[in-house]
Amino acid sequence: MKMLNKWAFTLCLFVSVLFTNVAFAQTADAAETTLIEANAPASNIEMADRLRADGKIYIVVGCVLVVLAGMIFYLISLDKKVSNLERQIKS
Amino acid sequence: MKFTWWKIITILLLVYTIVAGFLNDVPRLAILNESIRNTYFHVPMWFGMIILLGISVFYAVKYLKTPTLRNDIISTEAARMGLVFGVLGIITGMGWARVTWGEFWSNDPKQNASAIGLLMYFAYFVLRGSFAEEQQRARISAVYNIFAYAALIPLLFILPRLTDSLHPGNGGNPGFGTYDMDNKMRVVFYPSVIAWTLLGIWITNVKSRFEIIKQKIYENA
Repeated sequence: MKMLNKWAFTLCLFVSVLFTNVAFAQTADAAETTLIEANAPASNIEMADRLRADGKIYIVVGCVLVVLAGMIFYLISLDKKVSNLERQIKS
Repeated sequence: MKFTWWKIITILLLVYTIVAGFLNDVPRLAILNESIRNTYFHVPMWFGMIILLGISVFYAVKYLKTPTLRNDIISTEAARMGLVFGVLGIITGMGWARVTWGEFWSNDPKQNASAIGLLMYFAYFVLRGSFAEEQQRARISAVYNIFAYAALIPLLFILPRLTDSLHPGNGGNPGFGTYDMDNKMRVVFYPSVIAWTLLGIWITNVKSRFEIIKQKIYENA
């Protein structure tokens, strides 16, 4: 079924336009970064640096990926079931 | 099921959003800290909602021009998925607000406006449920849909900017676009918007096809 295909296409087109913007905005960004650094010393700000260094964050990422995979597989199975029904109704 | 190109893109971009969203470097900012990564998961909910509700309005207008069952079903299901995104957006936003602004709900103009916006779309489904006659339900809710979207845009994008809001980019606050978000973030943020929106479109697609089949079975029975 071709429904919504053109929406997906428009969306992808939109993104590629945004990406081009990012590429052209590179030079302006360098100035912005120094501005942020001038406002607060970067090393003083609390970040989860050690967490990633210890590798524990990978467990979280893996966990979220498993959840996402489960949902995607469920969605795919639903999609297949609906496709089967569509085929049965046609014949 | 046909594995069309955009379904594959959805999966790839979602995986990319999660891996890069958690592991890439982000700007070091006070108060926000690592919670700035919520930009990849909270903000796309609202982008996705606006796009899906836009699709819903498009099909509502299409229904009013050519009243087919298919147009009505797609319009409803897109609104339903948009509402799901909106509810997820408000829940994730409340969690984020708790750690950065101090309260789950600080009566921020944008928070209030989005709550009103969601209520308008809940009312859309109440309205749909109150008609027994199919044609009437489809036509009147299509008209309501257009008005609801026209009211939602100023609620979310114009009114919060006229007063003081805690949200970035409102009431004199700098937006993420001005200096909070650098290009390293944009490289993850834009794909994340696409990824979540495409997931919404995919679910809408499956649900619409299901509803169309259901109608066909009812007609034949």
